[in-house]
Amino acid sequence: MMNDELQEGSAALKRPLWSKIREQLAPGIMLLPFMLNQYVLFVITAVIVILISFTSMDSALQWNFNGLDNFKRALIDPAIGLIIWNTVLFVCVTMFIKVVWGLTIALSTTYYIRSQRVGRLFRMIWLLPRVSPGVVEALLWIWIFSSGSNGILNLIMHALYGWEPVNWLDRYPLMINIALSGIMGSSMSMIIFSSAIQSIEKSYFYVAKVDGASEWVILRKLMLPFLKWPLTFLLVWQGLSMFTSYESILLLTDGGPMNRSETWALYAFHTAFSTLNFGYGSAISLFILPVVVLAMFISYRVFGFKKMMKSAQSSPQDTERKG
Amino acid sequence: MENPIPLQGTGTVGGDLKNQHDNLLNRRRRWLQALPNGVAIAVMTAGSLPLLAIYVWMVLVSFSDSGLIPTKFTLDHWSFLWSELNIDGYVYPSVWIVFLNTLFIAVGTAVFEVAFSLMAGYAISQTKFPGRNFLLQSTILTHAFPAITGLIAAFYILNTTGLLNTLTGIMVLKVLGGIPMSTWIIKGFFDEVPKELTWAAQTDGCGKFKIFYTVFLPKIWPGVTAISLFAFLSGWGEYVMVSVFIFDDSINTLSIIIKSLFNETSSASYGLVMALATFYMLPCVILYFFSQKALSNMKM
Repeated sequence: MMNDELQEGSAALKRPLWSKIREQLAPGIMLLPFMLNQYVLFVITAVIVILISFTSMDSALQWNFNGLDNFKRALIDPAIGLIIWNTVLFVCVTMFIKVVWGLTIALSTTYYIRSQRVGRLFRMIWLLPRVSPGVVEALLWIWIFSSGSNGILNLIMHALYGWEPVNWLDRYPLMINIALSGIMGSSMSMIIFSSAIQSIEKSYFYVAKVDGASEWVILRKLMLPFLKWPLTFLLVWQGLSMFTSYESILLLTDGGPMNRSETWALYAFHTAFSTLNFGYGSAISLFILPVVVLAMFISYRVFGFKKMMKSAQSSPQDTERKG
Repeated sequence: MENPIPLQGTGTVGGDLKNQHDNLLNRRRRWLQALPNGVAIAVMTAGSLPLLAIYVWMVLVSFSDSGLIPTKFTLDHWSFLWSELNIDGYVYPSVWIVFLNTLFIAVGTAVFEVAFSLMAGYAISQTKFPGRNFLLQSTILTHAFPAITGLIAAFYILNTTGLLNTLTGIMVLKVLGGIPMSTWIIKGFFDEVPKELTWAAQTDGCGKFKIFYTVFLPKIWPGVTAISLFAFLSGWGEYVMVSVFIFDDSINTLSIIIKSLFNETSSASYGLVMALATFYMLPCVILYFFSQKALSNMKM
């Protein structure tokens, strides 16, 4: 009797528990790949690269720990001064071009140009760089600045002023890289600014017009305040991604000539994969990490999580982690 | 502007003189209003034409036989599609094999990334579990982790797991790198689906899968299109990983071959390189046009 009751009780207890587990099972399984990626693989990646940075690992992939040698070596590396200067210049000027030109496109196509179709057409043109592979972009820019008499710029200069062919990429390597990232990258800022302008309530514009506000006042007092947040995000996220990006420079000038277009992330890449000095390369790349983490932390505190991710989500290609 | 602009129609009650004055004001106003429109079109045209021209020129040069100024139509540069690609006496693997290699990475990345992000996005959005917020916020960390730092570790990991020098290895890395962001995007779309719809479907006796197909899928479709496109493009355009992790010439991708052709020492003609680049870009442009509608529906 007692026994029966107990059994019944435990059965009654058991059933909801089991169904509860079963209810949670499906989402659990669905989450598995994501969790594995976030909590296991990512952590393993981070730990491995930190460990490697304390070794003199080369192409033989042997773990020869050498303490802080790599980090000390990076600080006295003779190339580092120029590289830091290049990186700062690259990030700042590229961001400047991206913001100014992206804002110009966004304002023109969403507000100043009255025909919506024309505006959309221009926006579509500026999305071309976004869908073209990095190699094609680099190819087109090498074609423009090629040193031969077949280079487009040389062709134009010859036709206009009779100039002899100039080796543009040798003469202005960093500037051309900045122009490439800035101009081709402005589709990103264009998207963000455009959607910000489009989300402004239409009635504000009518009210402003009725009140007799001039175009200048509408721009300064109505639109720019709405663009303040997108701009801040853009500067933080895209600035970070510029700081850690190296693919476009790798393809265009490969850091040369004589390190004149080498940036920090590219230097880490070269050290690790050109000279196969994995230990030293990891150490150099780890110098990036505190800067990134600090910027993330501050912006997390200032903007909050949601806003931060919002501005990032339109750029999954540009800023994605690659391993 | 010194005076408030009168609204249309307010000044018509006055005499002739006032009408004239209003006409003048109106004309001036109209001109002032048309000015920004005209300036904007001019600036955009001047800025966009060079960009568009260079892409168009790329296509034109690939079909022309006389160097940079396209005059005579020819298909010579496109012969790699049906015969071998032979430059400086070096015979490259058939372009279709290279094409398939690239496609393998791109499609594989898109399929797995979208599948995993859909599952995770659905679970995070529709169920409550401890640590949900933290899990979601961890995407920011993975997202900001510098690519180069991950790349060095990836080399070691691929080597240990035996995936170095395989296309699968590249695909796995691309998928893992893309999952956080795609999950975040698609989770936002799941959040937008009203709870009432799911309840209604449940009371109508729909099973879990039917609910997903009939309620969720139509609502999240723009998001799925967007992340598929981004995933495909990032796999299709991948250069760095392939150049570093693949040593075997027979499993190269299009990006590597095009890159190897545009150094200055190569004797490959501009026409050939441009033809290859056009061939390489074609799927991207086609997909982009097809997903236009979904992308414009996407809130960013």
